[in-house]
Amino acid sequence: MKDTFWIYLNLLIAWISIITGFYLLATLVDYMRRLSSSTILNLSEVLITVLLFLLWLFLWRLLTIKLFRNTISQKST
Amino acid sequence: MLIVYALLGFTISFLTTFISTPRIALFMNNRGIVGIDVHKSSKPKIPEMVGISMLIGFSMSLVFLSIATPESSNTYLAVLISIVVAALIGLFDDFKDLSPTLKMLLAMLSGFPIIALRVYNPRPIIPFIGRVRLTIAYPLAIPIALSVTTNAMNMSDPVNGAMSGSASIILTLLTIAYMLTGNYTAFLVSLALLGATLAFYFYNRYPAKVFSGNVGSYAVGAAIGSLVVTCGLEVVAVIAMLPQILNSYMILSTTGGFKGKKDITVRPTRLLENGSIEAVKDQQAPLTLVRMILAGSAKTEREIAREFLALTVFSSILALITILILPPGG
Repeated sequence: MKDTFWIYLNLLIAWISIITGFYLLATLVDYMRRLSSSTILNLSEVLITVLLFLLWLFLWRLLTIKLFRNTISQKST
Repeated sequence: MLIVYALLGFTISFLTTFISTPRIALFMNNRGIVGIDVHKSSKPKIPEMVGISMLIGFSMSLVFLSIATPESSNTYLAVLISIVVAALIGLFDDFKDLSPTLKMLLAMLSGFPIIALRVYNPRPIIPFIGRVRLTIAYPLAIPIALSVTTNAMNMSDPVNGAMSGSASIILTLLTIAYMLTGNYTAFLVSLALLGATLAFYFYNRYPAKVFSGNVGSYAVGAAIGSLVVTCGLEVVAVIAMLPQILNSYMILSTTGGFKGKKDITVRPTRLLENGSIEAVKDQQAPLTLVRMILAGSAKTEREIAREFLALTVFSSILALITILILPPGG
């Protein structure tokens, strides 16, 4: 398990970021509902969710590749 | 009465799969429908497409449940048809070797029975947010969700027992989750589905006596997908499936989209002379979950399978914690 610890860490970070993302989204939606009319709000909620999801996917990929390269390069040394 | 139905559903599913698996394996073996176990030095020939036994197990238990609790028969029927559609696509893929893009598109078809029978709740529950109303978006997302789960399970079958074992862990988690949230129809369905995957794991675990084939992995993926879409707890299921999602996502993103095995020139792993498997260092090789597991050191197939399942147990524990932070009323 020692040399696969980074995958567990990766999954843990993914989970924490998903939960944090939902929390941020809830706060943001709550804030926006006080500001704007409901029709525009629904569209912006969807757009923000999609953008956050794409950003999360991109960052998760970066993190996974970085951790993988780090681990495999340690093996060769 | 619920406990009796739950136990009977599980037992029917388990026993049907447990009894039919060796018979289907013999049938496939006699007809030369075998696959080579590439991760073993002796390269044994193993009966392929034996995952049909899980389809039989799923079907028998869902038919039983629709007789026992007819008020939820539409849900059972939708789950059953979804599984059968996905299994047929898998069967077709086993014989014709479909292109990855076509596989992804065809897998969407398994979501249509759920839309046609209207057995979904377009108000998924999200942590911190609560129930969100997605009247239009939810039915549109169902075929995509089914395509994701079927393809994710199909891609998560690299070593003996990885797919059937991880599906058993995910279904155990979902069974507990539905019991905790008081969704008893979902509890009956997930326990019934668990019976088949658990029985199949007995034969598919290292050293595998049978291979599920695409027919089996598609059926299992559709079983999980249709269960979650019809019964809820979408976020919990996504968390539980994080290792499978990570595997599929990294394969797709590092190979530059949907590519078949023939298009991938550099293999992610290689079998060593001592029987262990090591990760290929070439940066052109796709980044699979097995390659990640092997990044630190070479391992035997048994160790890889164990690690694969341990990762699924870990993500299932995270999913269980997620249930605790779901708003009340979920």
